[in-house]
Amino acid sequence: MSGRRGRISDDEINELISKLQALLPETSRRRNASRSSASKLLKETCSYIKSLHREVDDLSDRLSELMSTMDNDSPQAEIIRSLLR
Amino acid sequence: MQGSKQFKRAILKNLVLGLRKRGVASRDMSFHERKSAVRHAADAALAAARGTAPCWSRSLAAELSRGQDAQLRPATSASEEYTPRKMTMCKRISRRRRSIRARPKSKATAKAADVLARVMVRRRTRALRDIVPGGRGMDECTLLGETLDYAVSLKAQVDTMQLLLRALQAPKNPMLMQQ
Repeated sequence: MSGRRGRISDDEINELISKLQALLPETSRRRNASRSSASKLLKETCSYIKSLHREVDDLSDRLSELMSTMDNDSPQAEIIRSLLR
Repeated sequence: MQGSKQFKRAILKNLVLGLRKRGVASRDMSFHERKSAVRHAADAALAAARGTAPCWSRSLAAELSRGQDAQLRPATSASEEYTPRKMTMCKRISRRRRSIRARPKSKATAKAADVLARVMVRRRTRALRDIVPGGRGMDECTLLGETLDYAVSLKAQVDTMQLLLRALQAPKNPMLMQQ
């Protein structure tokens, strides 16, 4: 993906923009990307990345809670222990 | 656009190994220690799986190892014996930082620059720079591509962590249910 050298063409920029559009959840797919929607696209991309950060944070929370309940002798704890020791 | 299965598998493998290494399964960890260890493992797993090609990945890896260094090496007063070590540390860090900064793309065509000027509203660009690791050192062309790559990779990280969580929570084998 990165490591592209040399001039970046119009086409490449348009390709990146359309890829971003395709990536974002529930984007209204507009046929003609006008100037204003490009800025909106970047804003939505920011929000998307921030929401992913929050999800990672939440999942870290839940994973670590799971680890901490391993004091008991349930079979679940045994599975976790065998996986993570 | 999705992260490949191979990529996700690499994240998962790195994550499990990282969790093991950090001893999160041990009993004597505070809530914060454990959570921070899990988060650290998740981000390290992501950066390692993605490799050194994208700038964000190198920056993330560097941030993580800086954080770890800070934990292992408590702040010391400027005493004589530490000065030489401090100097080498600084050299190492600045050398690392230099290699992390993305090399600016050679001149875009005038027309392409035009398109960029229209697309990259300053406010939006600044926002992106703040959330993509290493974003501050990038030119606008690079930033766009890096953002895309980073977003796809983050999604793969989320999917992988969800998978691990589900796998650890759900005993599918009825024989494993004690009650």
